[in-house]
Amino acid sequence: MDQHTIKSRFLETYDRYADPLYRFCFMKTSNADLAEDLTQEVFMRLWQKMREGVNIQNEQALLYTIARNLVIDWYRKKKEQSLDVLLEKGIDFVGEGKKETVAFAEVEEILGVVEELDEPSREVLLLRFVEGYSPQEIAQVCGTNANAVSVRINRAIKKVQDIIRPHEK
Amino acid sequence: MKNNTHEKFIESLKNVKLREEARIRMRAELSSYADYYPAADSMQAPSPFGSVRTYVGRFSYVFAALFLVVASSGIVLAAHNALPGDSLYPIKTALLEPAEQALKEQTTIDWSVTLVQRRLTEADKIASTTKPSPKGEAQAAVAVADAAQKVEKNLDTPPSPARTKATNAFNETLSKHERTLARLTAVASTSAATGTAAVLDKLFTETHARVKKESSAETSRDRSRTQEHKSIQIINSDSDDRSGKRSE
Repeated sequence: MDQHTIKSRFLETYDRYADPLYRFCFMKTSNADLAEDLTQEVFMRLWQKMREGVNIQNEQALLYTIARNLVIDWYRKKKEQSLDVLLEKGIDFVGEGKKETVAFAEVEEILGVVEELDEPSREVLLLRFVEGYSPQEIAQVCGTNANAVSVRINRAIKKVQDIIRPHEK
Repeated sequence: MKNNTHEKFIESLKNVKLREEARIRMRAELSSYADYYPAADSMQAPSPFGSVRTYVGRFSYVFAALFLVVASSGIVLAAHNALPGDSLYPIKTALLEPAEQALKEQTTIDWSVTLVQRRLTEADKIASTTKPSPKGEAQAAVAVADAAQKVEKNLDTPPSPARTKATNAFNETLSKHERTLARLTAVASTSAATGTAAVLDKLFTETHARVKKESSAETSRDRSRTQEHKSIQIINSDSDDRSGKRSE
């Protein structure tokens, strides 16, 4: 396959997975700038595999595996930033028009819930309900089986409900 | 968070996206990255340009002759004026410039300084367009960093008049393009091209320090000259007064 064809496929993959991967990295690190850097790094590593002619059977699983490994590396090297630091820095999100104040408040709420969730819950919630992956697809990404994923999803929903409505426990 | 369900939380999560300008910039940088590290198969495939880098060194005289034969072609002119990000740019750097070097009587060290000057001028041309291409700027940053590293490698030799001359020419070039270096450092820093960003950052920091030092030395010299001029004026006016008094 020539450079032009491989590069076209690569950029198509970018167009499709840039936002989902960014969300994934953001959920994992709670840091928008870092999530951006990690997202770019994921695609750079994907390109290295594609240019070497590696046979990629499941692009989606590969991308999330690379992203997860990069996040693990980051956690090993750096300290986790607190929510206060994030709020101080401010986070820019895509919203409708210039609803920055509303978007910022939403982010604060999202992060408030995310901070209280455990790692596996964050992951499955994002992949199932935001990216729309099936339990089978999530199982491939997470390296587990579909049943375990389904159980994790249900527990994650319950946890979010408990966080949002503690008075209904 | 009152009256929120987990569905609303999930809906909010969907709003977490890359900013549009970040998405466009990242795409351009990844595209440049893919061009810089081409697919292994495409490098091995028979192509007029695929193996240029490998053969040019050994057969530079062949390419010099080829350059002369093709010199009347419009492609050469178009490639000669190509900028980073243009499709003909690889022809310029991988074919035309090595052929040009073979024809010129310039030492390797001087030629490497010439190439840095060209790379910086190209970066300026891209920046001066109405809508600078992110891909072009990213490639220009890489090209300048590579060219500068080659010069530094060539300058890593025992002191000699040639080395001193080349060092001065290199420093002068960098000083003239201080702002360009600052801009390219910012372009590289916003991407994950940490290697390029580090090289450009070092170049800019050293250039800025040198320019500042030269500027303050010049200011100091100007002040001394002004003081000297004032002193001369005072002496002259004193002597005029004395000669005026004598005549009275």
